[in-house]
Amino acid sequence: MSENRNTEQLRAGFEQFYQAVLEPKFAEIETTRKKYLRFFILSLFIIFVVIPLICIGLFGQFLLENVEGSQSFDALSSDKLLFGLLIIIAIVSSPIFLYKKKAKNIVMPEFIKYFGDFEYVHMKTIARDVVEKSMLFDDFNVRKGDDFFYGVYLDTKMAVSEESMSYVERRNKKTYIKNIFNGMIIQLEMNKKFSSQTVVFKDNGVFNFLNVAKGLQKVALEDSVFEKEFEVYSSDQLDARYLLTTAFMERMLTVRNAYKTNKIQFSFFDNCLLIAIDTKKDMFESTSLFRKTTDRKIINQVFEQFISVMSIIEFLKLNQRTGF
Amino acid sequence: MEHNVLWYVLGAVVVVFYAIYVSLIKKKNMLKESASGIDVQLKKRYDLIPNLMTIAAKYMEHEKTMMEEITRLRSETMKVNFNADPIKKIELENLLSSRINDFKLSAENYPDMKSNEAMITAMQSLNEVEEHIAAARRFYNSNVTALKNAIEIFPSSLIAKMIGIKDEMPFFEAEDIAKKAIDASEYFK
Repeated sequence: MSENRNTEQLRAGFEQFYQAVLEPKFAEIETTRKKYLRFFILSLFIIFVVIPLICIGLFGQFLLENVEGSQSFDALSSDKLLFGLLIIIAIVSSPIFLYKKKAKNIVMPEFIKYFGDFEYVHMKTIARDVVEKSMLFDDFNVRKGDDFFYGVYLDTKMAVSEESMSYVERRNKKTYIKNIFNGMIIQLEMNKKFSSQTVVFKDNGVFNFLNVAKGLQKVALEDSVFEKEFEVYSSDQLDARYLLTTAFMERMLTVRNAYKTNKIQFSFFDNCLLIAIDTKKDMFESTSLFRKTTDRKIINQVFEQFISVMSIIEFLKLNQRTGF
Repeated sequence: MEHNVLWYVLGAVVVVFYAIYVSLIKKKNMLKESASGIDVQLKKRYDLIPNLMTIAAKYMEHEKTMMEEITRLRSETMKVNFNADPIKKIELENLLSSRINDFKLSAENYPDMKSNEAMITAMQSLNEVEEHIAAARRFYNSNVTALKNAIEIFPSSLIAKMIGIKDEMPFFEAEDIAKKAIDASEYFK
């Protein structure tokens, strides 16, 4: 649908696309939203009004039957209370998640097609081996995907997943959760052919030794601004410089500045570039149970989030083919 | 007791001396390796030039002198090895790069040639090779800096003098026009 339009052209044509394609879709799910909202209010009413009233009644009866106080409240031990609370949270929040899943599956596939030949899959992630090969992340054993889309923008193949990674460990009957990553992973086809691996970590100052990637050598580059922000490691010193030209380093800094974050890292391998942006921000949330589906503020915000991802290809000029 | 301290100090001096010696030899070898890397990349360009000139000869009859000069410079440059005579090699290479850039600019006046499929491929290959040459040059220059610093800064300067490591290799400074790799796609739009 995008016919190789750049971000400026995409912005210009969005209103027309919204009216023709998105507005009817959002209107379609508005009825669903109201249904789920009623379900949500009803579950709140049952849990916070009906159930407490029943409990008060039962408690009163209990007191009347045990005036002597011979029985304790063993039945209401902390474990059971916690379990009950979790069930309540699950029941109350279920309409929120069910609606989100349903709405996203209706709206997002249409939304993303505006940017090019794209497919959207809810709760999927970029292949594990790709993520592991990037060397950008510490060990993880739990991955949760939210939004995932892949396709071609400006003749450049790309895949984007919004996800979280963590390492969960059980020690001494306790569960420890270490958050590894929470943000967006962008995989882009490179316009250069190379067989090595180059990893660009954020500079951790005195803790840079933590960045050391297996089998890779440190690469010292000439750009002092870039060197201040990042640490580069590569399996091939020459390839690292072939990829990280002075112009490309400047463009990478532009991407970093555009996202206003210093938690951005890059990995070049298998003729592709993987960018990990630790945003902590929940992206691409075009639908919410508590807002009208046609709320333009949210829709525009999501549109700009898509634009910010697509513009990386323009920032890095990955659509300019210089080789074969 | 004093005897023991003397041995410890001597041991430490030997360890430091050896560490600096190893570091200097590594830097020297790395520099040689990166200089060879430049030769490898330059050879790729030498291999491309005849093909480029053959295709261009069909269209650019008026630029015969320039094309002959490129061919002559190519043969002359190929004879010089970077490790053996870096100054001469850099001088010739810069001259060759400058002529190739002239050729690229002249190509602008031949739209038929610009749309020739074989020429487009050859120019794209040349552009890619030039990016590789630039990368090899940057790697070489960073190694020159590392060795120069080691040779000039105490205490490694002292050990370098003792083992005879000299600051012989020059920086490979590309001429201004050659510094910016030309995007062939711009010429063949």
